[in-house]
Amino acid sequence: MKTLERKTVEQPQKQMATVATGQFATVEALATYKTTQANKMLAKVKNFDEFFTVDGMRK
Amino acid sequence: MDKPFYDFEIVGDAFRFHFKSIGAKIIPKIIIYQETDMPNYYNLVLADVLPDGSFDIYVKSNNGDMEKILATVVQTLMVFLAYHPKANICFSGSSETRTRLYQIVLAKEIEKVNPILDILGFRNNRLEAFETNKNYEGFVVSKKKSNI
Repeated sequence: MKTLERKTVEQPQKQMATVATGQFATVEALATYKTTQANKMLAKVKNFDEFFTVDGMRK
Repeated sequence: MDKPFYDFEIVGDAFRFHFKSIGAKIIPKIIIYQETDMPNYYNLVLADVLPDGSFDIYVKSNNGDMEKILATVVQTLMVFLAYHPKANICFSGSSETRTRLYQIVLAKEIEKVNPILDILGFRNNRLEAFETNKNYEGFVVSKKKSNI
């Protein structure tokens, strides 16, 4: 039980350090970080319908 | 597209590629095409693989082979689109400088890839057909509909 409590506290600190240095322990962590950035960029796009259908196919 | 590039290893269904940058140092690199929240949109990620097996997206290798690395990225992009012809690939640099670098490469290559690929630039919250004299925050590349 104590171990679980300690992990909960340490996890956010590790994630902050990862973002600050650009280093990632796993390929999954790297992909997740970069894809979150991509999702933010894609969410800003206001004119998808000029180029793509709703299912992401090129018009 | 006709520039020298490194041999690369295709992992799985071309969602991941491995190659080695060979200059003053030998630096393993990884390229990942990761699904985004939007259907048919994938994010391109390029990173160094560090000696301890971790990954770094900000490290400046200064290995003297930047053009060859970028040519390798372009080759993996073509392979990925061969496996996933309906995919749209979005990417930006890990810094403004690197995004600008990608833009320079696209500007050099656009005439050659124009019959095959559509390249869009992202600026002011809008996508537009890529133009060589404009600065963009990111890019979306997809196969032309006639080539799918």
